[in-house]
Amino acid sequence: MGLLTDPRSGQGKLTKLLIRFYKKFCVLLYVGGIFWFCALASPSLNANTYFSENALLPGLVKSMFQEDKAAMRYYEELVDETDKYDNSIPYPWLLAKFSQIGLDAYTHNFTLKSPLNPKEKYVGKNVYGILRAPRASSTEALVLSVPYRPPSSIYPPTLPSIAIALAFAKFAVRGKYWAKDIIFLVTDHEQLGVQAWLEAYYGVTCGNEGTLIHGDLKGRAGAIQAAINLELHSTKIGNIDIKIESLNGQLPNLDLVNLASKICAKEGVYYTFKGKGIKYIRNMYKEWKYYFKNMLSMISTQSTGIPNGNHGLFLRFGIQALTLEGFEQSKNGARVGFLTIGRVIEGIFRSMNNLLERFHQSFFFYLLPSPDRYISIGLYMPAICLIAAALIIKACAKWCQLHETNQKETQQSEAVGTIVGNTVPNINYLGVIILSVTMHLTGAFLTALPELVIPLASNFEVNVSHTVVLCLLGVILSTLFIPFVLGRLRRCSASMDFLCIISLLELGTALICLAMNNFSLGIICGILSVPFALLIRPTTCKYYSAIQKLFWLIVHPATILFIVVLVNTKLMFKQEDAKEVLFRAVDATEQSILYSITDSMIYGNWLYTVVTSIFISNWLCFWCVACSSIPKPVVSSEKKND
Amino acid sequence: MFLYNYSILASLPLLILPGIVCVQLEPTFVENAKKGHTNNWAVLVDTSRFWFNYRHVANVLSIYRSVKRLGIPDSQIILMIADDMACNSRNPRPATVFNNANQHINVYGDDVEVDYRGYEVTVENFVRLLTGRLPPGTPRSKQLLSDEGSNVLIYLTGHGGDGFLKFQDSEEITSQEMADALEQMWQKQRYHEVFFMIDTCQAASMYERFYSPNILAVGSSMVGEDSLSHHVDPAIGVYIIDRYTYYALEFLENVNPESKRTLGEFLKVCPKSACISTVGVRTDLFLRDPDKVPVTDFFGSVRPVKLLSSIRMDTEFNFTDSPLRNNVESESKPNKYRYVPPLNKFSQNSV
Repeated sequence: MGLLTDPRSGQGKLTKLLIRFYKKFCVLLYVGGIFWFCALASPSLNANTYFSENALLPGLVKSMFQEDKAAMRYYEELVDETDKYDNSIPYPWLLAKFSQIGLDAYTHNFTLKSPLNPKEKYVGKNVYGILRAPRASSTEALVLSVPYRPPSSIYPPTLPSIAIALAFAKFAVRGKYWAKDIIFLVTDHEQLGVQAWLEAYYGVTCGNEGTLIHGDLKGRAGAIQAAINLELHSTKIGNIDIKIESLNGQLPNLDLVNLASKICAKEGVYYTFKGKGIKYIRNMYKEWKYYFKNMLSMISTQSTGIPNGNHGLFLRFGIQALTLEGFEQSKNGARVGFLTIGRVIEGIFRSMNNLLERFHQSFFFYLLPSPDRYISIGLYMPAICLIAAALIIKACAKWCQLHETNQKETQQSEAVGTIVGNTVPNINYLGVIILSVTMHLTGAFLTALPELVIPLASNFEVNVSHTVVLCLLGVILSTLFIPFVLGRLRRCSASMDFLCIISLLELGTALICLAMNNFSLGIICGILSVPFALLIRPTTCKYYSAIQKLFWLIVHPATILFIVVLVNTKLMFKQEDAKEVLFRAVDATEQSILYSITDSMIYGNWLYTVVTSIFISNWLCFWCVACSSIPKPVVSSEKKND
Repeated sequence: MFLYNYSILASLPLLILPGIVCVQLEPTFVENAKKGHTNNWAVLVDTSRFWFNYRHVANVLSIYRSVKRLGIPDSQIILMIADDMACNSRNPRPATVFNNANQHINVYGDDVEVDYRGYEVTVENFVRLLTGRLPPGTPRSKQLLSDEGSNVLIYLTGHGGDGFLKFQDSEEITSQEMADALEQMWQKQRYHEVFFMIDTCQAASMYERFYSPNILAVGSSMVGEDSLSHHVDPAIGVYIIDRYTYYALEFLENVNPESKRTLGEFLKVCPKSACISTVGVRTDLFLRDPDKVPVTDFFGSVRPVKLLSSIRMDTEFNFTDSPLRNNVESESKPNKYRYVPPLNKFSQNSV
């Protein structure tokens, strides 16, 4: 740290080298990071998956499930039953079946007060049955959950999975080898039902108080160790897709993913990850491309932090969970029926039954380029670290540069005869820190804005969702003008350099921290923001200033969101003309902002919070630097270093 | 008063002793006993717990079954099992443990006496058992009451590494500790010969440090090698037995108390093609030629029995003389060690 603190080290060789070459070095680091990231998909950098947990004994036991006819009967009855209920779950039928099979059957009621309109209330009802382990104390449990979708639902149907879950319960109730209770859970209203059930099970509230009222459970089993969520869209299954991306980018333990794929392979079911199966490609480049595409596909899902299945809500509670989604279409026309699917479920549950403790042996942080290959955290972190290092190196170099110019000035002033202190005299530390704190308070204000606006808006009989988005946009736009009211601070080159340094350090740190939790979000933010953040500096050149402002506006989180939505809309509605697409995109952007707000209020998704409180604040700090207006030096005897 | 009462009590055995018939063994019997052994003991240990280690319990119970069949009584078998597989709630066949996929033999049959079970299976208890340093009041079933004429079979199974064997999930015994325990046994005349058999990964590392005489050691794998399981029982869903033990049992099943199969044959039961790991043998400490030693010397309980022609009644009893044991030994071969009764002099003085 002598580099940063010892004023005399300014003359060090290393410092001189740093100041001289830091630009090239930063570019090198950034390009290196990108290269590393791309190379992750190469088979030489990722490895085959393997089981770490000895206790699992995957697939050793012979499958005994034979209740496929029962499953078919349940399915037919259920199809008739759902016609009688428009929009709600046919709970009397489900309760009757659970009791008939011999499970403890319960219902669970929950209420949602709409986050955007507290007067609106929605109610839902989950049904669950508990199979008690015959020879063990009820201290541990496994969950088999199925979302119930009424025929009117916009999502593909899941009735076959309820049928197979019931048939599996019918089979499992005869087994005397269960060491854990099995909870069969049929949830209502997609993720809301699971969230409410989990909150009720643990007696906690994850989102805002009073939004999702989770109610109470009449029956409980022990600590839940793992959960499987089933979404079968047909009675004949062509392929099973394993879905793992969960809330806030969490992932289930790799052992569970391996278990699901191993059992699928054992029972002869074609299984995929992100719609892509295991493929053997001879050509190295094609192989890399195949893996890279799958990896990007996982990154794009994970980065949003929105779970892509009901499994995603279990992970917060330390319950490893994944979704098996079954599709009818298959690659080669081969399909399996209820018998095989039942055996897949049996195999997974018998294996999880062997667990002695929670899943803990294998990876929790990884990327999957294919169902059978993984990239560990140790391999992917260097990519984001290299990218973030470019920011930190630039901050160091700038700091040294500030000192060097200061020392030259000191020498000059000593020659004249005035006494100057050790510190850099022309940096207005207090001003810069106040400015930076103000920017962060603005970010915090944006985070809290929806909760402030919603109660107000609902009092004034206006459309709440439009109001919230308009208020957000208004605040964001008005913050753009903050730099222009700064006055003297804006004209001080050294102070602006100092602001730039702390912003660079903040961005670098934030990227690495973010990538530790949700690598996908971290790497996307890093790749997009770092090159532009590296360009920003207080400048006297008007053109350079305009260009950096323009670039920096492009990487504003709101702009990026809009561009992403626009591209998506264009891809989805290829036939429509540009104007129509633009309107749709604006609409979709508004929706996506609203969803991220409601997600943070109901589920505790922190995407909105992170973007507003960290990235927008940091963006504003850089914006101030980009908008600085440095007067041209009157005497141009000194050569500018940057 | 108290002291007086006590001293009378203490001297009671001494007063009764003259009435006891003291057996005068013929010198030839003792000679025989020095050449061979007079009794057999077995210490069978499973050191690992948890359902997925079912095979280790099956290993040790299979060996238990074999030695019992070949004649070692339960009172001379110390069986240590770290987990209760038969009653594990995951066991689809409760109250049984099988060692074969076809479930022919339930090795957890009617009369299995587990002497140390569950968390009693610790390194401390194991070493105390071998060296005889057990706390007073330990039941006989938990004691290794061997003597200088005992042939002791020690069978260990569990998870091992280079130079250690894991006990339960928390501790391990090192090869040095094992060697020292055996040396202590030798010095305390607790064995005549030891057959040390171990089925773990890197098993050979466990007997590398042995330095006491009369030990024959065999391990299922060399240092750096893993010992593997033999097969899975799909009905139970676990690996059911380890390779080395499987082939050893295959051999032992064809042995009966009268058979002349030798240890030399037993040491070759598992060639590398069958075991995958290399079976390690250490014979340098063992004075006899394994090819001439019957398997039943360790696995069975065949003892040289000689009928006595005469019984001499000991009518006089000298108080200053030490009791029974010295009588026997003074007339047999002089020994390096002498039995000293604890606080003998003290109790006499107090009288």
